[in-house]
Amino acid sequence: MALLQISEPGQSPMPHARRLAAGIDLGTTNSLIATVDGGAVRVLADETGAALLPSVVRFFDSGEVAVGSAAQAAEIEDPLNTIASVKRLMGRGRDEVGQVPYALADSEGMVRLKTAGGDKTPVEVSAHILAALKTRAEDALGGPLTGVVITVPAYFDEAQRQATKDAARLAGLTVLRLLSEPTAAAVAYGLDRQPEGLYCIYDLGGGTFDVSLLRLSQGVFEVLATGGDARLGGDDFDAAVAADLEAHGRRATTAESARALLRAARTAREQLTTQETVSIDVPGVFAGTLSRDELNALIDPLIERTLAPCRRVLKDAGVRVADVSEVVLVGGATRTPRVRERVEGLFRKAPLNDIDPDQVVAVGAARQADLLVGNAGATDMLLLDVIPLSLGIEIMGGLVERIIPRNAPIPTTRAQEFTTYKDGQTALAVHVVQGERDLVTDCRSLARFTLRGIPPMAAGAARIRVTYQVDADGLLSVSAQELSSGAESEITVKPSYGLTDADIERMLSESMAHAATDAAERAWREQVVEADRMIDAVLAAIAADGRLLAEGEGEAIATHARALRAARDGRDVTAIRRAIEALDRASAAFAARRMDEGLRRAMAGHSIQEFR
Amino acid sequence: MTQAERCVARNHFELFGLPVGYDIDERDLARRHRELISTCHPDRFAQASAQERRLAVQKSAALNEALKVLQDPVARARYLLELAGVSTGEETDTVMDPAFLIQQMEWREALEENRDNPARLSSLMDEWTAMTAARQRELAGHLRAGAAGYPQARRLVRELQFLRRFGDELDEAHLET
Repeated sequence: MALLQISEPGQSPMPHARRLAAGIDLGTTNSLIATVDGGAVRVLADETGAALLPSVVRFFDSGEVAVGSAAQAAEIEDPLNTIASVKRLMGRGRDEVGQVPYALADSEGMVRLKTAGGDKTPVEVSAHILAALKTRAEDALGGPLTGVVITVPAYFDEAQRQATKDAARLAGLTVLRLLSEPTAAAVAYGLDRQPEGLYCIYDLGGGTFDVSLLRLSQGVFEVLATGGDARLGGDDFDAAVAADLEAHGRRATTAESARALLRAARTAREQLTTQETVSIDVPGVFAGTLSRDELNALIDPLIERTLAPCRRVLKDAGVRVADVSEVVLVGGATRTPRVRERVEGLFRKAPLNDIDPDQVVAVGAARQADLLVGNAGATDMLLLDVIPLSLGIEIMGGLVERIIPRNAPIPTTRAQEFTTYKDGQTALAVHVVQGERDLVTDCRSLARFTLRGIPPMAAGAARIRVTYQVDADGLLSVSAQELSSGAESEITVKPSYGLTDADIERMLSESMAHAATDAAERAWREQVVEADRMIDAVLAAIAADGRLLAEGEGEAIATHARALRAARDGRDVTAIRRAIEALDRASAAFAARRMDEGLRRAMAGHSIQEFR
Repeated sequence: MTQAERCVARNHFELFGLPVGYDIDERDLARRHRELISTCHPDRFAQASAQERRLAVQKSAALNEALKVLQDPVARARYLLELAGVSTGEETDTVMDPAFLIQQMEWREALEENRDNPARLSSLMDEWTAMTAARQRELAGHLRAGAAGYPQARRLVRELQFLRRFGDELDEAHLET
């Protein structure tokens, strides 16, 4: 049949070769990468056998970079160039990060760190951690990764999620999905194999606290509610212990002694998991002992701060403590016995903790990555997420009009109509913020979107529909159309605490990993990949659902697919892009019909079940 | 194929294969939503073309939007009235029944004066729950009556919206004590 002749002989439109995929837990203190191997999840270790990669990056004036334990070893001797806990800085402005033990560059937008290797954004620092994990995985698996699932705290706002995805792009990784950490933990425990239930995931990591309530039914997870504190974690336990040691000893006056003190505090806290008393010696600051009871008294107020969000998510979801089937503990700080006691006290139920709390998130992410690249075969598992914080826009008087409420399931869209207030006005600006408060100044500014290309009309005559879309990763995009003329507006985005596409392009061309390939080469490759993907998808669609084609539609699609294949074999990026767009237009109605057909079939199955 | 055939549903009810009407089994609705979104969620298209991924996001968003409206009795009633061409006008029309408003003001005063009094907050919550439930029952009755019930249904939707806001404030106060 003529339609299929554009597929080359022997080339299957849907290759079934096993694809390499991995799950990444990009943590505040440590990061991990795991993969599904022969049906079981394997956490990949480095050459010394260590699975945890300390989330620490050291920059040298030579331009070289050290990541992980090599960098961590230099934390005390080279504190300003050795960046730890960078997750706390992702998508944050200079005025928001509080006290950090690094030199900050004067900059608008996202904070920039002054290092021997130059000014670095948290995105670039995170990209080095991700690149190290990528190398580890590709060496272990013997080939390039098709894609990865990266976990983020459920409570991360849009800017923090975008920063995470940008870091992955800089590291040369394809992100299949940003998955919330609690959801990943539930998947790791195989809670998806239960018939149904209500699960509370209590995740106290190094720097962030997350609590989420998930409902599982028929193999589908839904995040019912999520809460937490993006700036509370085991690091704060250590800081509380360190402050107490200073109060009973002497102040740590240098960056070096402060680091040594923090490290001693952490070691003491970890040892008190199994011991009743530990002795501590930090030269010049403190020498003595600390008991578990003393530790408990120091951290109780911090643990209390985690219990209020727990009560709130129960309230948000409209459920009672007794309705919760299981509580899962995630994050190294939940090894602290006092945390378990208090969580058990609140939920009146012993929490699940038999998977290593440091690895549980990466394990779940690996399973989801395996599924998303198509290795897992047919499955019912579907992870539905919610947006953790409301999205709003600035209106008159510095007030916020809410456009998408928190805990709305994603993906989600919301459209609004605006008009012009001046004759001949051709542009409009929309300021999007995230948060629960009524004043713009009390919410986080996400971005300013400027719409241009509104056809000039009398004031009030133009009707501009602005559509806000939040995708399954929790990332926002905005599009706009003038309704009377149908003209699409051109939109430029100025992220408040994020990187622009131009920033990322520049970082890509500067980065070591990409020095060999110039920007044009990279752009060409990206277009070729998308062209192949599109041709494969269209061929597979026609083979599967050819009966849904309208008169002459199949021929038109085939013509454009052939044109795209010809363009793809050339070197002209613009020609490939145009051919992709042309095939997209020619096949859009068919693709929409197929998706509707899928929905119709799902609904038909439903009715049959009911008639039985 | 016409535009109408290409579009799977003309309204939120049809999207879920349900008849247009107020009475909905919420568990059945949730099950239908999960089954439908299982076929079109972006995760099902992680390896697909940009076009299919875009469509998947749009379809899933439409299902989520429809679920949000239908699973909430007040939003569902407002939407039914909208489909019938009756606007509830909550943002433009501020005229309310004076007796209802006076009662709301009394509750608000009681809330302000008893923020530190959990027992009074609890009894206020009981009164609120009873009034909300009564109005929802009334609302269901009017909507079942068809067009003749619309004016009363419109009033009840507006009052329930008021009640909801007060309920949220009451919840907040409860959490703080």
